[in-house]
Amino acid sequence: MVGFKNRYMVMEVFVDPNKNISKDDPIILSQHNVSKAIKDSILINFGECGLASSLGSFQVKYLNHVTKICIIRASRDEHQKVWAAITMVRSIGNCPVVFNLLDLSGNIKACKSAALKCEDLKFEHLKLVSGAPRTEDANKHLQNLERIKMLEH
Amino acid sequence: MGFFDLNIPYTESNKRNSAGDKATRLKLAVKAMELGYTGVAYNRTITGVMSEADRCSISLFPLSSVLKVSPSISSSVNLHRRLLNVPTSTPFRQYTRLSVVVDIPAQGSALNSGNPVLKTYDIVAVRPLKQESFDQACKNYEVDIISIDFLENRFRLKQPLIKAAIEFLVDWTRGKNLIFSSAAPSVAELRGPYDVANLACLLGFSMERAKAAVSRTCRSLLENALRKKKFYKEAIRVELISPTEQTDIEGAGFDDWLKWDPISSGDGDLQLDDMAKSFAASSKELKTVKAIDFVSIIDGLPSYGLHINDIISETKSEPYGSSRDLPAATKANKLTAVYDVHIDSKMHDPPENDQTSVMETLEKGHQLNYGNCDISSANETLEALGSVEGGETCAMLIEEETKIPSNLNICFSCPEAEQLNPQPEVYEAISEEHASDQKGRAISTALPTAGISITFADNPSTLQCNEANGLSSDAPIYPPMIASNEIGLNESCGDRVLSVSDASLYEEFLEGEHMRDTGDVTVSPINSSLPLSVASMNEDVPEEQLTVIAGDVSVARSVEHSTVIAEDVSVCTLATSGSDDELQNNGANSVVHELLEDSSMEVHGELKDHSQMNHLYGHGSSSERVRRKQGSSHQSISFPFKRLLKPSHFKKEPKRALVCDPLSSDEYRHVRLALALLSLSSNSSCRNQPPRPHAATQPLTEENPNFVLNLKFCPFTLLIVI
Repeated sequence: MVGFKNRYMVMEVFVDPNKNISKDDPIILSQHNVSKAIKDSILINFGECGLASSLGSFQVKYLNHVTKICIIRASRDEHQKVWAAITMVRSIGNCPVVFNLLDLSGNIKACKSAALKCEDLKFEHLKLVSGAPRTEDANKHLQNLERIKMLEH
Repeated sequence: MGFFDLNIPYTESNKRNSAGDKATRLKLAVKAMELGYTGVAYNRTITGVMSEADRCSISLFPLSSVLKVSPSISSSVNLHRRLLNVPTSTPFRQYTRLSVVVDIPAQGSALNSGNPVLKTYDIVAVRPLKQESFDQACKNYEVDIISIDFLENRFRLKQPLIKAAIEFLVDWTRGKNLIFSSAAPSVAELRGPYDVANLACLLGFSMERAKAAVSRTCRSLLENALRKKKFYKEAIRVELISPTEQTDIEGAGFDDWLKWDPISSGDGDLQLDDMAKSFAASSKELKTVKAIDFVSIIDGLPSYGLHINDIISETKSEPYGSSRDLPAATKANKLTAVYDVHIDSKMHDPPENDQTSVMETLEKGHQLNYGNCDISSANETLEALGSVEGGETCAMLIEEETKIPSNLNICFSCPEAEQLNPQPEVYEAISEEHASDQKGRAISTALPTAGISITFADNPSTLQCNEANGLSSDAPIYPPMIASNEIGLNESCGDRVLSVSDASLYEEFLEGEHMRDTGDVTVSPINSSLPLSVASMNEDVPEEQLTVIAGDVSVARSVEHSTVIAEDVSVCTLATSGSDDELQNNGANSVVHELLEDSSMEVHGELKDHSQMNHLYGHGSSSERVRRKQGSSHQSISFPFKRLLKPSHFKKEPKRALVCDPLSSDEYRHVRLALALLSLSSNSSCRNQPPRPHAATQPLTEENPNFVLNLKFCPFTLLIVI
């Protein structure tokens, strides 16, 4: 049977929390950005050994830079440390960020459904914030949903 | 379960950057709300001596300012709350907190309950900087939180010691009574509740404890703190109810009670619905019943108390002509409840008051004629009471002597005990009773001069009403005070007349498992008129909802003359767990606070002295309302009179758990070490080490000051404020 277990964390990123709401993001999130920032944090907080042990299963599986939702995978043994390291990420590049965990699940399926729910809610929220949604946004949203559904472990 | 962040720094405004500070604070609060927290406390730190100028001047943010910052916040809040399994309609609460930095023990002498400056804040925390002040803080200070801040680097930082310190803290408290708070100086340092809990897990807490540290412990802390602050000695709520409202009490008032909010922060509560609607340019009335500012109401009362003349204008009641002595019922059975009313001549007014109010509440349609109340009828009633046999539980009134022994002294005494049974007697009876039969508990209540007597007056009136109404003699009349949980309500009992006070007591006691019995409490005809407390008894209120927090109408204490009891105001007093501190401090306080937990509340020896009247008066005026503590899921609901039933009545033990006692000085040193989180992975090693020999034999109860862990998200270091 499957001996090796993972944990999938659905997180949202608050970029530049001090800023004014309506301004544009000072930084565009990408999987690479986020992954690097988290790895740095693991290195700082847990040392090289910690980084090495958590790096095996660590991956940013999905990231939506508009809704700021990301899915991060970590091994079950190390997921608490990785989670703590993520919590302690203070900045990505020059931009202060705050990570907030939305959901933690053990398989990709549950994670997908949670992520879909979060995405929808976030999208609604963004619509409220930014006024009338444009069609391209809606399309992008649907594309993202599709992307989530295509995720594999 | 809501999450709380009880440390949002508040800096005193100096002219220069007050606007900036306020904006930061507002942003922090908004962010916390968005992250899913349901309550925050603005923390102000002062060192040294407190002055009058230090009174709370922290402004709570109204909904409008929140919306200005983030208009669409409600959808985001909803999202997060849903994910955190917090009910979305929970209001967002704001509290005020004061942190007193104490360097030498002398500085901490101001931290007692009498300090008026402290009273203006919701939560009081102490931050001891030295070993001795820490010891003193644990033992003596009247604070809700003990916080240790290692930010100032007063202690040597050494990695192994730090590791040991973390491990020690974890072992020592086992995660109980610890809370985490952010003390975040800016928004970027705020983290969500689950994230904080995870960090706590790395320190050695179990996930469950860690989550509790952010939610449940905070909530209980707030409940206790607010109870102390708002309710004068365990009186829950004092309300003026006009006589015209009497008839509605059963129906309408009840729901009101259910909505009472034990941790309401008054104006600080922000309703999510309001936010959503405000965003949509509409507003909605807040329906929650907020905690009533007891003090202001009391202040509004005339100092001489409310005499019957003031209150009763319409009812025709004849003042008591003479003191009535209700001899103890001759009931040989285990019922130790004897209703013994001694009414001083000068006490006529309050009893009248009570009686009148009780009368008023009666919807009998017939005016009870006070004149008919006489000793004989009282006796008969008592006998009716006495006739309750066979497992009928008799409410026990816990007797507390008032400060003025000559005052009205209504007590239920054992059948054997006649006349004014002295408290010790009663207690013995109680303890016997307790030992022998869990059902019958007689609690004698001594009426203090004031309002308390009012409630007691109800008893005779109740009894008489019974009589007058032709109640069947087997309707037991329960004395207002209902003792410990164990009494419960005997199912086999027939009709039970619960006086309102009983009801209030019941509510308190009937929490938890005891609530089950409430269904059996039938409301006798009298009870139907009795306000909610009785009615509530009939409900099968789930545990969590029924906490009648009876407060000691210690208003009486301060008022030699009968006061406090506004017309038709009945103060349901229940010993509350939160009253421990007060008990300690009020020397003569005989508030019986029963803590279900192992707190060392004792019935103070005041039984002999002038102790406050025990609050079990639910009845009294028609406005008697039983407060329900909502949402208290844990069985920590105090069972006020449990202690009474134990033989060690007259010992006065310090309330605070003796956390410090078993610790050696070495261990203390560990505790004081700052924790750097560079070795978070030492978490596992912590677990492997053998537990320390210290015995935190008495787990910190909720009433004990909580240890606050302040996580400051400084780079690379996590400063644990224990």
